[in-house]
Amino acid sequence: MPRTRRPSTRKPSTDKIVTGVTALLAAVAIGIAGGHMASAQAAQDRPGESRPQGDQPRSEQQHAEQARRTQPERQTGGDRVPPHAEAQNRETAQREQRQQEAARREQDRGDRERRASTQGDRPAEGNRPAQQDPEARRADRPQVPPKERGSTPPADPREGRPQETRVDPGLTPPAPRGDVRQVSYRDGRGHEFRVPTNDRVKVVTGRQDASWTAPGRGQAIEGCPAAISGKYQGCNLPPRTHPPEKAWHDPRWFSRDFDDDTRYRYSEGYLLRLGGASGGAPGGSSAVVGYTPLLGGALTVGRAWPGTYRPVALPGYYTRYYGLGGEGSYRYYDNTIYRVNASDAAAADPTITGIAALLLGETIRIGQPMPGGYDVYNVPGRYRDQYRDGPDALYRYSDGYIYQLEPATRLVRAAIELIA
Amino acid sequence: MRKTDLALTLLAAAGLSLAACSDRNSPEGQASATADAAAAVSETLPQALDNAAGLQTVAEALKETGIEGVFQEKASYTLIAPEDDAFAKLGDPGKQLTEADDHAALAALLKDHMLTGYMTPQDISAAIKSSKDGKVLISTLGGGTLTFTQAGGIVNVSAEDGTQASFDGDPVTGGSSIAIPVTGVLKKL
Repeated sequence: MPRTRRPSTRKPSTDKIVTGVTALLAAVAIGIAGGHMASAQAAQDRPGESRPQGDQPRSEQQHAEQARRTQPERQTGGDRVPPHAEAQNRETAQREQRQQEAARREQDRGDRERRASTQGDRPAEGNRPAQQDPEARRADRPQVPPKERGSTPPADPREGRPQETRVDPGLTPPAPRGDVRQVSYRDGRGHEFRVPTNDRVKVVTGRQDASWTAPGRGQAIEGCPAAISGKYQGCNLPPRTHPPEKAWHDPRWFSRDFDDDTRYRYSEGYLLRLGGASGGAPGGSSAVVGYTPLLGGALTVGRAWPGTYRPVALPGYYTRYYGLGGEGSYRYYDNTIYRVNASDAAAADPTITGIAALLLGETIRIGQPMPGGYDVYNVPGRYRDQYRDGPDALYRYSDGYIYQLEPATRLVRAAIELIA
Repeated sequence: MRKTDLALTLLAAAGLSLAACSDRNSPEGQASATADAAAAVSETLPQALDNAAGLQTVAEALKETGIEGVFQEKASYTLIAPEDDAFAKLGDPGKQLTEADDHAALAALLKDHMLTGYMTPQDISAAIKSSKDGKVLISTLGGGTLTFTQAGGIVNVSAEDGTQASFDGDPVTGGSSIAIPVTGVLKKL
């Protein structure tokens, strides 16, 4: 017996209203989804400009320009990128940046509203409290019994405090994020590659936008520091001992560059350069003609900056990534970024208030092979859900950037700035 | 309900779901934001080392030299952390190093034990296993190179001056960084 459909009991006019509303919702939803996909596709198609506008404050630009005038020109090399591929990459980067800036403005607005409602106590950038003097810190530290290490999870020493969530030590690969989009670029040979992208990162593929070259390590300052002239008359050091009294009296303790112990000596937190043709050799001069202040020695939290400081142009990204604050709040020397008292910025010797970063200072360039020493996957824990080694790409972290490498050649394809 | 109505309703539901995927308020976006927030509120590595047994000397060294400051920001570091026993084995030279008023030498020693990025013992072991010659080289922030090998399930590390150590026990994490305890000091005194 054929089935008969039960006639609808709803009134004809209500039926039409439901149909209309449903169709309207469908149209709106399809419009939203279609717009999103069209935006992503357009990012891959149209050429444009990659360098962000106004990336650096005007004063920083002046600062950087002055430093660039005193530094040698950076060499550029490697394969030429086909013009159409370079233009395509620039447009992709520009479109991504516009999306991220919009997202960042939205997030900043939300953060301001949250801060206003919670009335949190957060120090402003550039006004970070100075680190405590080491002697005082030793006396003040409470005696907390250390927790046991071992294969079983130790008891939480912070019992009684609000529970905090620990970062996964990376023992288990995290699940991939749901907000990542695969954005296509072309390398110097015109080959397409993809970089996982979202609002947390900014991808750089242009050679002119990446590859900040750190200045040479520990360039000596001419002259003799006050601490040495006060201790050794005329800045003439006593004869050196053989073997050195302590291992760190050998200048190589501080750097492989100082491999001539006749020319360099350690004293009072400085590596001292001796003058004359024969340096500090027997019978030669022991007069100090230059010095390199050392981290933990002359460059210590709480002390005034020693000697003349030559400004160094840090990438604008670094002021955000390392939380450096405004101009005058930091100094760079010998692959180390120091925080200094911003109110002393105009002084020649501001007080060092902290150490913001230690850098490897490697020269890593788009289109060039990754330097040696990056054999191990070292992506920070919070980005491991976005960047994992695989057959199509390797990822290595260095000095604030995650670099995407081509697995076969280890050529650097992209530098990824970690903006959130 | 007519077939047309049902189809349109399903389309609406599908479209709304697609729109939600790109929304940071979606479950995926919220889970990611939670993980990011969790990373931001955890204690720093020096604080974690202070609370870990057998790593007091290196924890103190980070504070004395001021290097603890670098662990307060987003940057990631891996500290190959000599245990207290390793420092004790150095004898008087070790005491002179850690108890001096001038901490330049101690800072240089720490930099020779620090690597850029976040590396777990599993990461290093996996790299050794996939290497052609059974070793991996990693640059230190002090400008040197550490060589990692593995034998009998234990990862060994050696410095350019010939000093050696082995991984010992679980790593300690804090903020964006990690410390791997080792049995020796990787700098010749």
